Amino acid sequence: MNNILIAINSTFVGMFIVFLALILLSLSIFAFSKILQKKDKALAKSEDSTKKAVSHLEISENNKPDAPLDNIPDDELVAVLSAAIMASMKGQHVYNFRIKSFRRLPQGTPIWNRTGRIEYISNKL
Amino acid sequence: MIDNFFTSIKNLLIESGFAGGTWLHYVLILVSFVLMYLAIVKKYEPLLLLPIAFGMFLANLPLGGLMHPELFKGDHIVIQDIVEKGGLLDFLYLGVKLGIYPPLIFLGIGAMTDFGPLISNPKSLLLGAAAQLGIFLTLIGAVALGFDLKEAGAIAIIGGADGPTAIYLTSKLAPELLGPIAIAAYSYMALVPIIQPPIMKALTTKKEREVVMEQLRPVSKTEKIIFPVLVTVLVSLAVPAAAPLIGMLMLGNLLRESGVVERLSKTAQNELINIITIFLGLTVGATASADKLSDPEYGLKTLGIILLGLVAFSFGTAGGVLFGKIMYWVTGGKVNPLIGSAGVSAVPMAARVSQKVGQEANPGNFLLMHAMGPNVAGVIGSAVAAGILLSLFG
Repeated sequence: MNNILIAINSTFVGMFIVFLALILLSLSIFAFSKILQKKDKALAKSEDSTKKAVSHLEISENNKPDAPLDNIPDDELVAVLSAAIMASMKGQHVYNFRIKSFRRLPQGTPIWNRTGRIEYISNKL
Repeated sequence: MIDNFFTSIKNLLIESGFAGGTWLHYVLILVSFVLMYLAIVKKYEPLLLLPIAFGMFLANLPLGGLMHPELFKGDHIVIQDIVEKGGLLDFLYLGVKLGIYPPLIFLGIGAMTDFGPLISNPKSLLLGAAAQLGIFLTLIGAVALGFDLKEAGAIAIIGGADGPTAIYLTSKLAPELLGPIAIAAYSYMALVPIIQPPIMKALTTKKEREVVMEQLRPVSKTEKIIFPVLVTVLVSLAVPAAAPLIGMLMLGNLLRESGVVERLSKTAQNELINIITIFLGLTVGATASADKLSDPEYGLKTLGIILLGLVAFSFGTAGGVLFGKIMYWVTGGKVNPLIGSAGVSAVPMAARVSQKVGQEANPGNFLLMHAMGPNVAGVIGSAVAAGILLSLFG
């Protein structure tokens, strides 16, 4: 009888601690996500303003964009992205997805790495 | 000359295993063959069931001398005795007895697991917590059936549907019950697609099962890297006894998500986990020896464990689904309660069951990724529950 009482007590204590630990974890993950999302948004904003300043500079100096990918019109790029998603989700019923936005990331790879890659790929063709 | 020949043959036969075995040895060898059949032909958790079955077979070979359960009796082990008298399986069993293998298995599981769905929807951690109800209710049931508190704690953890956690806790609380508990845990995990659907359907309405959930948000790499560190800190501080399991699980995940130690990550999720699985299965199977089962009380306990294991699984599933219903009401019908049943771990089988039952109600519904959240939360939840039981009864 004494053991039953201990078991009942342990059940309440156990469930309470499991819930407490996981609620704490849940809240911490939620808080971290929010902080990181805010940081990402702030970073994206500053990137956008830098991009605008750079493009203004490029127009005024009549420079050509250095990556050929930048020349692809947006609608073509969306079509390519849609096709890639469809291909990667092959076998599943994807009929109602929508690409709401996409963002071009600034090219951060050094020029020698890019040249190396292009040469490597063209050798394979 | 002829007399000598027959005497030698007679002596050889007397010293052979044929004469040295009891009927119980042969019954257990037959049981091991049945388990091998289930693993190979029926494919019930073959990765573990096959080494377990073969371990049981080796340990019950009369006079084989591979395993000596008497060396591990009591709370303390004498290493010198094991070195002098032990067989191959005794040496390997040290990894179970000292609690080394289960955390290493968790390292591999961590390296294989994508916690993205959980980070994307942290509320699913609550479903992982609710599904631990089976563990704690079974604790009461086991005590009511006459098991002592330590044994009851070890049996109750079957409800966590997590093999390594069950083995870890049992090796600490009731090592003499390791064989039946491990076999019951893995057998019921293999039977998740049969045990869970009737409970899930009984506790939900068709309207609830048809709920289509919103798309999960993408999770950034930074979040995925912070997650294992955060979980280790919080869980280890809240329940220190869970630190070996959670620490290793999260180390494996950090190896995966950091992206800078691909070799270590691959080793953890392939070679390491495979080697440990062989050792763990073999030695756990070897604990089911004829010497123990010759005791009728032990046989009765084994039957009780099988019964209570089923109860634990069923209550765990029910706890998850019922909490899923609460979330359904609170969110105004945005959460499908079926994902709650995945909170009992058994990754990824339980999540697949949620997907299957959900799709039966609404063929256009895809619950798999939503169910993966509670599913991996269940792994954390069961490790926390094991830590609590260890603190209370260890």
